[in-house]
Amino acid sequence: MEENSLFEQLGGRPTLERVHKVFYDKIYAHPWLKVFFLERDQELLENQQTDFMTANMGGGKIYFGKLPKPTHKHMFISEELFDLRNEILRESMEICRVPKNLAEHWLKIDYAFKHSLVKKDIGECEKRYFTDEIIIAPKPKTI
Amino acid sequence: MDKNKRNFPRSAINIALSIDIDGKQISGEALDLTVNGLAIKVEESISIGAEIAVSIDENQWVKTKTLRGEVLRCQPAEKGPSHYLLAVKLAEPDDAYLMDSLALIHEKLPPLA
Repeated sequence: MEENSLFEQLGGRPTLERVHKVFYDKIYAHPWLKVFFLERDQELLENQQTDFMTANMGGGKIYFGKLPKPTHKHMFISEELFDLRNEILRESMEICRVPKNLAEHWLKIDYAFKHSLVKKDIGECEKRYFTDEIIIAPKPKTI
Repeated sequence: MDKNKRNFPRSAINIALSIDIDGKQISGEALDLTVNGLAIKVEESISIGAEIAVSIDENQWVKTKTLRGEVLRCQPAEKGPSHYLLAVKLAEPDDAYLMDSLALIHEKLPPLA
């Protein structure tokens, strides 16, 4: 039985790019989650996330960006927000017809970083630099 | 444990390390790893439930220098009574360890789809 990386089994970079396009389209349009992405270039984030997941899926160490914890330390990401984001990723994979078993592996990788991102209290947030702002996104009443 | 952290495959490695338990240093060798755990061979028994710090020697797989964890199991190794196998559950490993272990685990997998 031939063994391949998860990255190869998913269909390589084109699959990750397709899923991340759908995913970030949804995130940027979402009334609650979009607050974290104001003035952030979507295409850049899509590429960074694709590189990041490529590395985590055994597709080669091509990610040289910041690690998740320092990148998100100024964002108040609650467990509810994290789970919402994860659900949108699941939907995005369904839209892109990623086979269910492979999608579950992808989601598990995403969940492995949960403790690096989720904060129980606003006091756990830290500015990245002196003039930085802590990002807090109140839950819209429409959700 | 978070259900989504379960069932990551394990990946065989061979990394020299030392374990700090209440200030005492014990040499060992990591035999395999997963996202939230290590299997370690040591030359003396360690109590189940002990909280340990693992200092990892330079190697090709894992860049992280120190990990914290709890001993879940300690049993004599097949090599004889002077060796023990520890199952260690890691306490919120850092992003660098997660990335290194995920890359290793997912490098080669049997067909999943």
